[in-house]
Amino acid sequence: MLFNSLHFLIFFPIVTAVYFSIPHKYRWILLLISSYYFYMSWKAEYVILIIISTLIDYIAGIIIYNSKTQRRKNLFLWLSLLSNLGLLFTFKYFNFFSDSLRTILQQFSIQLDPITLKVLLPVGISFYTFQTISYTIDVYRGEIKPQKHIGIFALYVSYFPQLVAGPIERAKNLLPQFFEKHYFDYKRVTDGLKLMLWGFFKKVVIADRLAIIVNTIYATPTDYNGIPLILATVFFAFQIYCDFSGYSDIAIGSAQIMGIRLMDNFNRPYFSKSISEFWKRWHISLSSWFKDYLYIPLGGNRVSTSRWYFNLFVTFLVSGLWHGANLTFVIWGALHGFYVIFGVITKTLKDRLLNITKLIQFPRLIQLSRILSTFVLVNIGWVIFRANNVSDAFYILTHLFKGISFSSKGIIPGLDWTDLFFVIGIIAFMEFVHLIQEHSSIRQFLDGKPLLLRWLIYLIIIFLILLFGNFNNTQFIYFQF
Amino acid sequence: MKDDKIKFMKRGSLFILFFLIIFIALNNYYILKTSPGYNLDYAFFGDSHVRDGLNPEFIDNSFNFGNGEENYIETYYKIKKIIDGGIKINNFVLQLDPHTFSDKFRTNKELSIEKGHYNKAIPLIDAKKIKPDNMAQFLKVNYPMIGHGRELIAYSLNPQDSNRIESGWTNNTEKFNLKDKTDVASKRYNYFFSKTPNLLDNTTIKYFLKIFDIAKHENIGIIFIKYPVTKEYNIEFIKHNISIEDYYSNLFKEINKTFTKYVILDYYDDFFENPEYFGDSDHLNSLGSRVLSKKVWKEIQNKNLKK
Repeated sequence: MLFNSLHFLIFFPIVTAVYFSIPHKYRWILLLISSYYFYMSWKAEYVILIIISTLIDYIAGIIIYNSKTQRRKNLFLWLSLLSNLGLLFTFKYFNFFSDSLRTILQQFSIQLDPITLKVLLPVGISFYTFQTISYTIDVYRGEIKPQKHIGIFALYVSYFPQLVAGPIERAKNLLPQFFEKHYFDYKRVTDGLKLMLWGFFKKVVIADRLAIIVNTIYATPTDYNGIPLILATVFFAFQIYCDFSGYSDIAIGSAQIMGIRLMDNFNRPYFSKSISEFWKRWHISLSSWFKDYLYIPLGGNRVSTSRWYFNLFVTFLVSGLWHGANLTFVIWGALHGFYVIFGVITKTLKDRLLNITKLIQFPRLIQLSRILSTFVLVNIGWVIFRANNVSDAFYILTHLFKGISFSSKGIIPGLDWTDLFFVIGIIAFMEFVHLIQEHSSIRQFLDGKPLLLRWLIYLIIIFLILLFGNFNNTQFIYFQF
Repeated sequence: MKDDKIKFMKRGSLFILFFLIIFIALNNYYILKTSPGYNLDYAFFGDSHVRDGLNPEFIDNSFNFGNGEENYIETYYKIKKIIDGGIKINNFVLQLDPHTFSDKFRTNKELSIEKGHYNKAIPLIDAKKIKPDNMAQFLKVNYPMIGHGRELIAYSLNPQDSNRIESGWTNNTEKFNLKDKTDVASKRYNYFFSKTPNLLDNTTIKYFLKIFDIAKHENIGIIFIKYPVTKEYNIEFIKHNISIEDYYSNLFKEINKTFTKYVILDYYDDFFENPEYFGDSDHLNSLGSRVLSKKVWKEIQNKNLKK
């Protein structure tokens, strides 16, 4: 079920109304059934994978906790990891590695036809497997006790607002909340609804509208040069942000209505002043997951310099691979790893240059140039991320500034000037809201206004969604990961 | 908690009331502004080929009722509603393309439903027969304003510039020339013809023939148009062993059982050498629709089809 579907608009109010009408002790049953229904409305049989993942980690958690010896703990941790990663590998990466093997062997004139699996990628598999893996590791590390209530644990794995595209929650944050008694709180519920509304706006008005332009150009990039390629790339940066952060807002908002606090996933990433800051603001739940469960176990920065760079690079490489079984994602991850390492290496030099050139006296200028340069670097990464293949990405990167063409009809076939100004206008509106949020809370800003003015603002946003939204049930980009 | 619930219910109801008042007012305004005139010499019906292909600007006193992925069940109800609404039409101009009667066109859930402004009339029970996603259809049929903000603003700000809304025609600005022609043609072909659909679906034919009953009763002329496609699109039929000749021969056998007083305007292969007229392999773009509309108008005048 998609958040931006009619189905969800009926499903969610019903679940919420029943949730607040039944006694607390039965609520987990309602949420669990609703979550499974939510998932099964996409492809019913794949719920089996969630159940398998749930059972593996439920049992592993208890056994690890009760194990008397370290050897036994290790054994069950590895069993759990191998099972979860095995599922992920089979459904997401098997064909990629199989094809890659064939290509490599062909270079040595060895003809081999490895097996390929004809399976559909289960929606959200990367998200819920990472969530269950973090639970087992946390139990192993002694940071949490295993959850004995299998129903609550199953709900932790499958809680519908964040099941298919995160935020990837941690057991110590989410599990205890299912035991708390949540009352109907006017402020919390209306805040949740506002967040959902903002998420819908970003998804159906901005992301889906930009998608039309981006998809047209990225489908056959070799038909274009210069400005259309630049525009499509910049638009993709905003499309993917609005798509994914819109999803996260709807997820966080809908959980908030029910009294569940999910972690923030985005913090205005395009205001980042460096690539490392970008990763503290973009897909925060995944970045922090990789930090806690990969980067730090590898040694983090408390190792030799070369090993530290290696740890950074591996973390970004795996993060790229997490996004998809395609060489473009791997290169994208490697590129970000390179960016971060390069940033670390050149930090002292950059500071010294600023001092020598006296630019340090203009902090705002420096800040702005850092934001812009980070945005450009991120966009170079997005070209590789979005392109259909490596050769398309290469073409786009080498033709961004070749042949600047305008026509009175617009810059891209099918996109006239009105469309272009409209999308730029809505992006500017969103960034204006973000700019306010950089300095103060938008909720506080709104709460200080008279009721009628607030309602007018909400009505304008609702009508913008209704009038300018794309209602073709466009999937969220991150569903494919 | 109880106080909060009551506060939420009260404020929520009031907010919804405000919302509904504005929504209904805007929606009615939109319907009003997009309604056709009351006397039409030519009313074009069909799917996106029609919607993109015929610009009523070039054909006197005409209106384009075409809508994306419309089939003849929907068209029947649309026509019924238009006639019941007192609009006088002299000629129905109906689309006859290879995919027009395909069962896939009627039942495939993947095909998006693009209900237009005028098919408010379809009862839900019949809508169910047409496309499975009936709730979404219900909303689109009854609240056509949704997703059409640009048109609404265009009409309000600049009524002169809104000819395309008033006449029903859509300005397709795509260029087939800029695309990989074979690839586009193959994808478009597969969109409708993969898995060998039944090209003469009985349910669709049944409703199509019912349109002739209305035509006879109201003394309305029938003109069929075979819309142009690209050479690449036609090659797809040949590649997949679909005989266009056999298809039309079988179709006309069915039609002739009920109705014979029709005129056929055949443009199927007229633009094989003009890829610049197309947005994709089978949809005319702005330039192509201008050329076709002028051709149609000339033929209508030459054959003296206006009654």
